[in-house]
Amino acid sequence: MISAQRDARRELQYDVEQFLYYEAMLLDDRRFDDWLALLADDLEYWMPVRSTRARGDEANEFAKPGESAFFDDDKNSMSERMRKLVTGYAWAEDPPSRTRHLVSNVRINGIDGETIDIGCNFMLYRSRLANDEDLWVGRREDRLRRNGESFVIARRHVYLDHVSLTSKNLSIFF
Amino acid sequence: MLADRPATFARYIDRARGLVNRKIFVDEDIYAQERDRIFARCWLYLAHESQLAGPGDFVSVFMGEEPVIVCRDQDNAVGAFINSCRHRGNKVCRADAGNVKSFVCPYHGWTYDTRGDLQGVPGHRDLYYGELDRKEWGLVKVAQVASYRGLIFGTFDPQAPPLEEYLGDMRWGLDLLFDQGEFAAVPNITRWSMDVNWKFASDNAIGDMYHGAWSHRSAIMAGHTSGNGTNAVRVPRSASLDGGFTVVTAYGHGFNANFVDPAVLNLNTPMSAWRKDPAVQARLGALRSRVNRANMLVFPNLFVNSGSRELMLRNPLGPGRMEIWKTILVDRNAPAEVQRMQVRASNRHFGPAGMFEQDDGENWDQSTAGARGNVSQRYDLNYAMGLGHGAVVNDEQGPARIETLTNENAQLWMYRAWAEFMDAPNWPELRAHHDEPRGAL
Repeated sequence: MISAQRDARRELQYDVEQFLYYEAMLLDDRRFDDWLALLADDLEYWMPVRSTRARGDEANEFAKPGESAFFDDDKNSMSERMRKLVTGYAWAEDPPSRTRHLVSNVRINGIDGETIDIGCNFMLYRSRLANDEDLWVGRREDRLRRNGESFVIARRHVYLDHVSLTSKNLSIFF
Repeated sequence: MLADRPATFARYIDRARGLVNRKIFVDEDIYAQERDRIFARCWLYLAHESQLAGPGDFVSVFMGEEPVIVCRDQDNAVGAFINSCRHRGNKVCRADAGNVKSFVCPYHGWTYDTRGDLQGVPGHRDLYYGELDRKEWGLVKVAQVASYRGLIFGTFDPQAPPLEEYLGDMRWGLDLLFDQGEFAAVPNITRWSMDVNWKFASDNAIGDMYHGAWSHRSAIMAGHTSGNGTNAVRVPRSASLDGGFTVVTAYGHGFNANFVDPAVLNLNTPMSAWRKDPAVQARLGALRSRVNRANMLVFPNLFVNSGSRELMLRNPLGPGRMEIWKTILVDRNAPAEVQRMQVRASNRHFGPAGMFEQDDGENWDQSTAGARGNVSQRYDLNYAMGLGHGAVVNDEQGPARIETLTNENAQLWMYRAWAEFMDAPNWPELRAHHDEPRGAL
């Protein structure tokens, strides 16, 4: 019995990791419509801004929900972002950026019925035009929901390690 | 008036033909002069009063490239001082915000109070023989600090005129926002940097109504409802001449304001509720009550948007780089869900990922790159749209203004003011010799 639980856990870990690699590939391959299809209708996609705080004041490092955020999105606004890309006028992404999403340190933090809360670390590298480069590093808290043999993303909270971004824009996705 | 005075910098701005020399965007020597004559002279935006609620509350900011602490002291007065220990120059505060009783230098322990005055010097009696005069070695004070409607400004120049005089008619523009309610800053500042000369961002703020329909076309086509979250989606063919007005003021401030178009603005969302408040309308008066939103510049580097209610400070980091500091303001008296709607709309619109603003960064980056070529520098940039057609109207409805929405008069005006600042040896000269809008621009 214990062994069976362990096997199920291993299988879930494998499925979750494969899913995260798959959606990273979709973004890097610029298959944005396919990626959008993995976002749940009740999506919460949020990347709060951060500030440098003294030791003892760490609780105020990240902006809270409802405060300043780099992304403060839902399914509808993410759909707008995808539509924007294909208008022929999306200058920040024309020519398109080259991205590489690396996902690691995947942990299953909680399972509640069909819902799986996971944590992971990421590095997102962007190369743009001849030699513009960006590197964003941080951790994510994702909420996945089972969808047949696969998952959908119901929540993505992205916590950057940066305070002031050294990037001219965030015209890419995490 | 300016003709008999040496015009070192005015020669970069061709007023008659509406041309601006590209060199001013990249030249190291010009930038070194800007640090003195613009950023150590002008009133610069520091923070919003609501960020400093109680004694000991502070924020770390920059005036130009100078790191500055803005702090509410134990007597509840707001002061500002350079964040650099007088002993070896280290920052005495490395947090962006917080609450303190004192600022302690990590290197040797010199300790300053919330006014920036030096209180503690380890070894004062034995190592300094008690001879160091602590009163002489406080943190360098920002010469003048003052507020306008919650916005705290500072200037390093003791000869600068009072803030109200510096802002002049621009106060009428800022009131477009501040008469809408009673504002507080949303916690935390969105910060990002790019390879851009700060002036390209400023000239975009003061009057670039030309770029919106093109630069930001993709967002409008995708259904984005703008920074105030209240616009219906109608893709404009191009920028329009009519439907608003342009204001320029002494010392390089200005804005463009477009009128409410009922076909575009959704007046029935809770976010438009303030427009129906008779008290707000009375404060704004007839002309300003018609305004949908205004893009405003407080010279040199504060962009204020009256529609989506942001402050965006663009701090220089050398001639070829700048950092944007974005602060969202919300009406304290608005219902929580309306405040939330407004913050969400702002988060989605401006900032590095903003549906609009993501397209600005690379444009300004490219403008800056395009100013670097030594051959390119022989060919000036064109700021001549509407030149000679900007009849300045003076009447009882508001300050001097041009009754067209889209023109480059305000941008050229900003560069004229830039040259005035750069050529003036000091504030008394600048107060005596600067342009006021009149005639036709």
